Amino acid sequence: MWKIKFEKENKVSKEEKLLKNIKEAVESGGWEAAKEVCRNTKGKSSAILYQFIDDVVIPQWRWRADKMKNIKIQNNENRN
Amino acid sequence: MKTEIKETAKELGFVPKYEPLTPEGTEQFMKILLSEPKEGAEESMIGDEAPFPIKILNSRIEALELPISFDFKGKLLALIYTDGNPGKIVTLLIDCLTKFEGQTIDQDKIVDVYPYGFYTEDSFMDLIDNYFKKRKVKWSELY
Repeated sequence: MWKIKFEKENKVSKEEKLLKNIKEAVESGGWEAAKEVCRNTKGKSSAILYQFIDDVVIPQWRWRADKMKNIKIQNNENRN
Repeated sequence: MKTEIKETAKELGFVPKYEPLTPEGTEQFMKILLSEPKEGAEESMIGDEAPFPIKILNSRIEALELPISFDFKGKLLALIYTDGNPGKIVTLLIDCLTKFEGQTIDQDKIVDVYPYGFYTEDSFMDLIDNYFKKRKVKWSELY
């Protein structure tokens, strides 16, 4: 995979810290928790990532969850 | 290059299934959103320096004079969405041409083409085997 590095490689930047917090939030409470992290973090980066999670990430997972639900319903109907 | 066929796969009955970006892909996407391209970054996507799937993308656009271009972040996202798979990146090119012929593809347009992620493996194979290889749909001669 192609890694994108930040300018200050030896210093933990605000963005890196934010990404780390988001990652931890996703692992513990899902993408809604990650949104909460962005909401509670000041600055432009958190606003960009909040929008990204809300507009791109959550719709992708919601679409998949809806599809999985439909497949389960269809399977149950077929069994009956 | 002009394509004579007018139909898109969806118009012919293709029902796509999508899978969300992987956690790694999502992280890469977030880094792209927050990063400012470094000096020389654009050049790294041209010529010998470019990753192989991007060479495929560039060569098709140039050689066939396709009415489309990708900006730097658009190319990076193309790699992330297709996981660097050459077949998938050509599929992405066809989808982008179908929707945004004559335009420059940036990160927003890729999200617009794939709002629910890229195709699942089954859906991708269905599209290739039943629509692209059979030259049924617009721009399928690129595959």
